[in-house]
Amino acid sequence: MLHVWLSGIESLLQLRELMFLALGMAIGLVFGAIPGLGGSTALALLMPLTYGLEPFTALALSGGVMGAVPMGGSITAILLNAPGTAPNAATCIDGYPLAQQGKAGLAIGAAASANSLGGIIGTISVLAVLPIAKELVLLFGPPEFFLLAILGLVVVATTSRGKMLRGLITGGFGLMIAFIGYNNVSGDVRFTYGVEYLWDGVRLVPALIGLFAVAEMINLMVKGGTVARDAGTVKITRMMSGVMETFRHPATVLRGSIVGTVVGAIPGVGGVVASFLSYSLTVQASKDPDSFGKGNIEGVIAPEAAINAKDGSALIPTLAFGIPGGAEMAVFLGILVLHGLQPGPLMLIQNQTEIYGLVWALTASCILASCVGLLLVRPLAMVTLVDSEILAPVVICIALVGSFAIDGQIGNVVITAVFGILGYLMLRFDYPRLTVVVALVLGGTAERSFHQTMMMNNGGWSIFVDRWVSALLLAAIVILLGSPALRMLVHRLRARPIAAEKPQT
Amino acid sequence: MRRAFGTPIVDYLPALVLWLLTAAYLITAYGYDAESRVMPALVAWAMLLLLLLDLISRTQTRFGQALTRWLNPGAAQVKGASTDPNMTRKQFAAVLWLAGFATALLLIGVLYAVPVYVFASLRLRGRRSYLVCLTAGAGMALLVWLLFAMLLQLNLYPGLLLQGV
Repeated sequence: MLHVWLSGIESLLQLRELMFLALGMAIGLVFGAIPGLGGSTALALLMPLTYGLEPFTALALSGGVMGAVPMGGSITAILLNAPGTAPNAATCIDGYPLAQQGKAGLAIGAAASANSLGGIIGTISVLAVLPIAKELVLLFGPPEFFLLAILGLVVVATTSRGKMLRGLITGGFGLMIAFIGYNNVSGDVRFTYGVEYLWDGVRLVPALIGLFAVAEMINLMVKGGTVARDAGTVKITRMMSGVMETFRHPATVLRGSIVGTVVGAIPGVGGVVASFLSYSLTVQASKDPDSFGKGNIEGVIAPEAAINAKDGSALIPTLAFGIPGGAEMAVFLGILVLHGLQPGPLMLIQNQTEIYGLVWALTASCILASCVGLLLVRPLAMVTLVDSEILAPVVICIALVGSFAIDGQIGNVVITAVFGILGYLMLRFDYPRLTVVVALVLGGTAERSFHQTMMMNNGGWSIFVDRWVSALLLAAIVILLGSPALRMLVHRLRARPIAAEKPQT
Repeated sequence: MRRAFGTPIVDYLPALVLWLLTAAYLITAYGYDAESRVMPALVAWAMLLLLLLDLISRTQTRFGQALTRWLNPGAAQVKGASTDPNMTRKQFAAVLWLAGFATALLLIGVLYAVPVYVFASLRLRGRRSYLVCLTAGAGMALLVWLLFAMLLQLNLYPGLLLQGV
């Protein structure tokens, strides 16, 4: 095992890979600092640019982006109360009051060191779990893969922050899109309506660029103005004291990292849950819970440690099962596919060097980003003052030209534009986008596995309950779908004794 | 504003449009042989049911409210926002700019569409000076050319109108 770890490091320690890692880190910092963009947009924009690169170089670039985005996001969360990425919203609660008190440097220093420590703990957990994951995935056959694809969709839908029904709808919509084009099983071409470009189906990468990068830009154009309104609030002092603060609160770092690692490994739950859960657990464990929300440094350390620990463990479902842990991982999945790396059990066996190299790239990037982030705090904060009228056309240009560049098909531009509008409409009407992405990624696998399963069992459905792994997955799907009703029931049962107590008091 | 079951009719539109699209998809699916349509039809039927639940959950009836509490407690209501004319105009403008750029890429190709779009966007939307718009447009075109044509060795699309030029 040590040999594979070392070969991963060795592959990363090449000049070309290190350069692209550093480039990815710089891009990740900038995109992380711009609210609304984040890692998924950065990766979506970079995806076509990686086309000409070696697969490992592309992974180093992606790892650089993913490792650095949380640090960029925490800078604007602390300085301007504008979280660069959604998970950084938890950092705002205590980070911004600290900045208002003139302790922005302290908060950023603490966030940077918590980021690095969280990232390292996350990496250790991935290195420990990946070998076991390989054994686990070998238990999976076509019925299990079909159910796993459905489970992935249901998990993402049920964790769509109280929008399970809409999550399921957008998941179904994504599946409908995924079925467009040539069907490997029957040899038919479906739902193309005479458009030759659609014979290969809706290409994942242009669709992702549209759903994330273009949709966010349309949103920014509609809202108008700049992301941050006042540059005068930027005060940077006592950063090294902040770094030391993290080491004075080891329990907070460890708690946050464990929460991030566990939550990150569950597909679809994402960084927002990890950071807020870590924050609330820290408040509950604190001897002075009233000080939170008013500038308690632990309120910065806890979410930041969770966010970076989550990034490492989110690789487990993405690489082992092809189920992305979140939007960023969904786009990253697209990069893997683009470079001929098919996530799944075989990848864990055949591409160990690439996988471990990626894990190291992620860790190196988050440590480097923390250091560079400390040096570049002020100019990074200025990026948020760029007017949307300048930012939007530039990003849209890169997005549309980039999608064309993937394989030189002009149809990609149309797909990106259409999915951009679709993504905006989904934002506007409050439908989750993540399930569409998961469905686009898993749709083909689901259909192929379904047909293979039916062939294995001569069209019988009993195979889904005859095999213990598939029975377990089926049970998980049923439980998840029934979870809202179960939650309501528990809520009512809990409320009943309280209601009974009220007349007595 | 016209209402149905206590909810403005306009709030039903997203689910209704999706329902109609799904119905059309299902009809198309039944045009294929059994093996090809099994999964699309399965998903489309499930979608029709889910969208029906979504439509019901948007009503102000007791059942609708119960459905929202069970399945969509976090779903935001977009009441009123859809009727704000200023917002609607901005949305249309943003979508039109995107559609315009995509069309320009198709017609006049990458190297002409990029500077034209950046120039027009900065000038008409951003109201920047001609010098800034020209510099930004030319700079963006140069960046695209360096990045895609030079660094990645890609043939940039010449456009339908200028294909032979």
